[in-house]
Amino acid sequence: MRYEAGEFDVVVIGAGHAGCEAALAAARMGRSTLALTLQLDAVALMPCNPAIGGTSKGHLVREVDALGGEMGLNADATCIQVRLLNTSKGPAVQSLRAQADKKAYQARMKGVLEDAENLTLLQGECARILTEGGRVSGIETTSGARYRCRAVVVATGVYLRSRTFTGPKAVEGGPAGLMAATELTGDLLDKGVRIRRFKTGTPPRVNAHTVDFSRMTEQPGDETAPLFSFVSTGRDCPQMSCYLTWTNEATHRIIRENLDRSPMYAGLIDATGVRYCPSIEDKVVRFAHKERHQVFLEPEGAHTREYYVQGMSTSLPEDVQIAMLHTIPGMERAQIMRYGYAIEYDCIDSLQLTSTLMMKDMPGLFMAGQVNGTSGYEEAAAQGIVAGINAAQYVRGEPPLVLARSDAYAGVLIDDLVTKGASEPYRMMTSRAEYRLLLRQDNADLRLTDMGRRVGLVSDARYDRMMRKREETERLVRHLKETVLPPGEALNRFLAAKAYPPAATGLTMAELLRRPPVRLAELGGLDPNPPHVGDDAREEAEIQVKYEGYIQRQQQEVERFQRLEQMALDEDIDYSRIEGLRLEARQKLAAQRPASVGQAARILGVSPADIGVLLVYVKSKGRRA
Amino acid sequence: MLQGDTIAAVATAPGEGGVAIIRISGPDAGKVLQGCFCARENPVSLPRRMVYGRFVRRRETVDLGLAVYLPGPGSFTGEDTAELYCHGGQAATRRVLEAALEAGARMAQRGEFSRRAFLNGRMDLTQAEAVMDMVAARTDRAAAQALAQLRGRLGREITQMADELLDLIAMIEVTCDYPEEDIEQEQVDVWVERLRRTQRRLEQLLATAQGGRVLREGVRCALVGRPNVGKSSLMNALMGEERAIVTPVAGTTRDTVEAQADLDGLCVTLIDTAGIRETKDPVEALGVARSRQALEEADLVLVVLDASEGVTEADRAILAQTEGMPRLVVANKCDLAGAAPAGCEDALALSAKTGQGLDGLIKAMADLCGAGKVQPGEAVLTQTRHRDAVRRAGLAVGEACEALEAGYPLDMATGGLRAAWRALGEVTGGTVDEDVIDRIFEKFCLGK
Repeated sequence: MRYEAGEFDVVVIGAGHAGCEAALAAARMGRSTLALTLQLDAVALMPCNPAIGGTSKGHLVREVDALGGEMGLNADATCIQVRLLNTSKGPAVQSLRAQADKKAYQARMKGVLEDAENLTLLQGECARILTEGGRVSGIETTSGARYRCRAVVVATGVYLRSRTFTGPKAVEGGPAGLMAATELTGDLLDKGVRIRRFKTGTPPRVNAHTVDFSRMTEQPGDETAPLFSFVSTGRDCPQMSCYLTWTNEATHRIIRENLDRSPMYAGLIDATGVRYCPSIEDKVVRFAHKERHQVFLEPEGAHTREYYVQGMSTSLPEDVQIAMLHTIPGMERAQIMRYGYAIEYDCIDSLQLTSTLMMKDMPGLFMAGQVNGTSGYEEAAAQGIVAGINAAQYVRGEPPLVLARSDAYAGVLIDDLVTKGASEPYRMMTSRAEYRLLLRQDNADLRLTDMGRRVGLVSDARYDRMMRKREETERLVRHLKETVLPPGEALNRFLAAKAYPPAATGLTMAELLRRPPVRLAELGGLDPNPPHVGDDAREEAEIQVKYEGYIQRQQQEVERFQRLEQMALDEDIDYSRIEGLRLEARQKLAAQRPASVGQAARILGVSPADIGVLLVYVKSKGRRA
Repeated sequence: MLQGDTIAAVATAPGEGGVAIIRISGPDAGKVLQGCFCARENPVSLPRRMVYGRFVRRRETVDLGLAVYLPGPGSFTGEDTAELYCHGGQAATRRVLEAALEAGARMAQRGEFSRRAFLNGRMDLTQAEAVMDMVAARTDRAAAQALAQLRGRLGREITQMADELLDLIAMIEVTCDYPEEDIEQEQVDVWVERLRRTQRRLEQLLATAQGGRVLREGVRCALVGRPNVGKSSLMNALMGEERAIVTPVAGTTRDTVEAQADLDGLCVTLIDTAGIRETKDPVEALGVARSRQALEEADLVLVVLDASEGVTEADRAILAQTEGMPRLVVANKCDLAGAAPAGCEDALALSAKTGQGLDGLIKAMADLCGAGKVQPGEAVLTQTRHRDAVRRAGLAVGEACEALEAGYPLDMATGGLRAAWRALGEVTGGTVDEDVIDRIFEKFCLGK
C-alpha cells in the first residue's frame, strides 16, 4: 500500500561511510535530511578490514575532516592503534593509519547521526526513485512509503543485488550476513543508468585464544602519531598490537590443489575483481615465484577476541580455508569464527556522473561510494561528503562544490571516476595524484577548509583554528627567510655536526633548513628570536620552506593544468561535426560531454592530436563569438 | 578508425617517369577503384593481387596499367586502400588521377595519408614524422636516416628508455603506496645508478640532434673573401658544374648566388657572396650588404684566401669579422703557391682549379656542423620537437638523481621522473598515467 510519509530536502539511501557523510553534510548545511538504511545496526559498518586510513586513504580522511566531515573525528575517538606510515619517504606520501574498534566506531557514528539536527535516521529499503519532469521528486520504499524530496544521494555500497560466495556455496545477500537490496537496480536501469557488476572479497576472522602470537612478530602502534581530525583533542581508547606472520609452500600447495573449488577459478563469478586487494588464490597464481606472502592479524575491537587475517582474502570452501590457515606459523590450531567470502554486486558506470557526483541526465540524483565502482571506506566517505554538499547546494540553487585534481585527493578520485571511469574497483593511491607534493595530509585544512566554510559546513571553531594555523605558518616562513644567522662558532658547530664545511658568510635560517639532513626542531638553539607558533604551524612552515623548490615547480604545473581546465566546452557541442577528430574521440566526447578541454584530455581514447583539434575549435569559436 | 571521406593523390614524384602510382584511401576506396578501372577480374574481390586492366574516365580509356586493392586495417593508412600503377608522364598521370577523383575520391591534402596512418594507430608520431622527412629527403644519407626512424629506431630507443623510467617510477611508487608489503627492493644508490645510465643515454641521443638536424635540413654555407680570390671557382668545384659566373675581373659577383650540393651525403646550400670590400659602385654596395646578411644567417662560413697573394689587409678584416663564427679558412690557388700563406698557416690549402684538397674540405665541413658524428642508420633526433622533449627528459632525470643523492625524500624525486617519462612519451605519442598503476600491479604482489 502506498502512502505519503513525509517531505525532506534531501534523502540519502544507505548509511555506510558514504551515506553517513552525505547525510551529515546535508543536515549540517541546514537541509532537512532523511537517511535511510537497510539495517540500523549496520550504520557505518566496516565489513572488511578494521582499519581507517593508510597511504592516500589517510589523506582522504583528513580532507573529509577539513571540509567539515565526521570520519576523522570518529576514527580518532574509537581507534585502538595508530601508525604514521612512510615517515622517511617525504611529506607528501606520509599517511596516517588507524586500527578502529569496529563496534565502537559504528556506535559513535550512529549516535552522531541520531543527535544531528535536521536529520532523520530510518530503517527501510528504497524501491524506486520518483521523478517529475525528468527531475528527482522523491523516493518510495519497499513498504510503499513515499518521501518527497528535491535531491537523492544513492550510497548503497555493495548491497545492490549482492551475492556472496564461499566455495561452491552462493548466497543472495550483502556482506556479513546482511540482506541485499534487490529492487533499486531495476529502477536505476529504467532510468537509463548503466549497471555493471564488480567483485571484492574478505578474509576469514579467527579467535585470538586459538592463535599463538608468540610465533609472530608484534607490530605495536605509535602513540605519538598525529590525529586524523584537525579539531580532535586526543585519543582515549587503549592501544592494541597487530601481528605479522607468513604463508609458506605448504599453504600455497593447498591453495593450488583446491583452485578448482574456488568460485572465481571455477567460473561461478564473472564480475570484475580488484587488483588492489587480490585474494590469496590470485596472489599464489599470479605470483607463483613468491615463496611467501605476509599475513597480518589485526584486532577487530577492544571487546572481542575476533582477529582479521589480513592478506588471506579468499572465497575457497570452508574446509580449504581451515587447512590453509593451519599451515601458517602461529595459526596451527586457529579457529575460524567467520569464513572469508567473495561478494559480487551492482555498481554504476561512473562516466554518467558530473564532477558534482550528480547524474548527467537526471537532475537531483547524486551517487556516492562503492556504488560508483570504488573500493574502501575512505574513498566512499570522500564521495559522500561531496555528494551531500552538492545535494544540499542543488536544493537551494547554490553553486556546486567541484574539487579539482590540484585541490584534493578527493578531486583526483572524483575526476578519475567521471572522466576515465573505473573498469575495476577503484582504490585511491598516492601515485594517482600528479600534484601530490601540494596535496599533503598536513595541509588538507589549508586547502579545503575555506571551501567547506563557503558552503556552510565548517564551524567557527574549525575555521578559526585553520586561520590561526595559516597566519602562524606565514609568520614563521617569513621569519625563517628573513633571519640571517651570522658566520661564527655556533653556526659552524651546527654545520660540522651535519658534516657540512664551515660557512664563510651568514646564512638565512631558510637556507640552512633546505639542506636535507637539517630539521627545524634542531634550529632552536641558533634562532635569536623564535616566534611563538603552534606545532601544526611549525610542521607546515618546515615543509613549505624545506621543499620550496619542488613545491613551486608543482605549482607551475598546476597553473598550466588550470589553463586547459578553464577552457570550457559547452554541453551541446556536436562533436560529430568537428573536422579532424578521430571517430573514437568523437564518440567518447559525445558520450561523456566533458566540462573542459582539460577534462577531455583525460578521457581514454582521446589523443593529444584530438586535443589539438579541440583547442583550435575552442579558439576559433571564441573569435567568432 | 577515422571516419573520413576517400582521398586520392599521386604518390610518385611529378615529372617524366616510367611508372606513376596513384594512391586512394578511405571507406570508398573499393568503389572508387571499380569506378575508374576496368579489368577481367575485379581487383576488390582479389585483395592484395595486382590486376591488369584499363583506366577509364567517362567510359573512355585513358591509360592501361595495374591496380591493387588493399583492404584496411592492413594498409599504410589503416583504411581501405587502392593503388593504381599507370604510365608516368604528367598528362597520363593527371588523367588517371582525374578519373579517380570523378569516381568519388577527393584530392588529398599534403601529408594527409600519413596523418590518417597516425590517427588510425598505424604508426607512432616519430614514424609519421619520418615519413614526412622521407618524402622531403634530399640526399641518400638523409633518406637512410628517415628510413631508420621509420622502422622505429628512434621510437624503439625512446620506448626502451621510457620503459626503464617506468620501472623505476613503479618501484618508487610501490614503496610509497605499499610501505608494509615485503617487496624485494633495490637500494637508492642502485636506482641512482640506473637513472644516471638513462640520463647518459638521453644526453648521447641529444648530441645527435645537431647532426640530425643538419642531415635533415642541410646547412647553409656562405663563401666569403675579398674579390677574385676564387670563391665562385670553389663553389663550382664543389657543385661539380658551372653555376656561378667566374671571371677574372674583381667584383664580378654582385649578388649572392645560391646552389645546393650533395657533399658526401650532406645537403649544403652554398651561398657565393659578393666580395666584401668598401665600394662606391651602388650596385656592388648592395651586393656587399647582402653578403654581410648571408654571413649572419649561415650555419657555416668558408673564408677564402688567395694562397698566391698571402694574407692582405682586406683578408685580415674579413678574418676579424668572421671570428667566432663556425668557419673554415681555406687557402685557394695552392697550385700556384704550393702552401698556405704566411699569417694563416692553419688554413686548408686547396685548389678549386685542380680539385686538390677538396675532399679534405668536405670532410672538415661535415665535422664542423656535426653531421660527421652521425652514423647512417643510427637513432637520431631530427625534429625540434623531439630534441626539446629529450632535452627536458634528460634535465628532469638529472634533477631527480641529484635529489636522491642529496638525501631528499623519495617523493621529491618522483615528480622529476614522471616529467621525464611524460616528455619521452611526447616523442612516441602516447603516455598515460594509468601506465604507472598498471606497471605496479604487473610487477608486484600487493594487497590485503
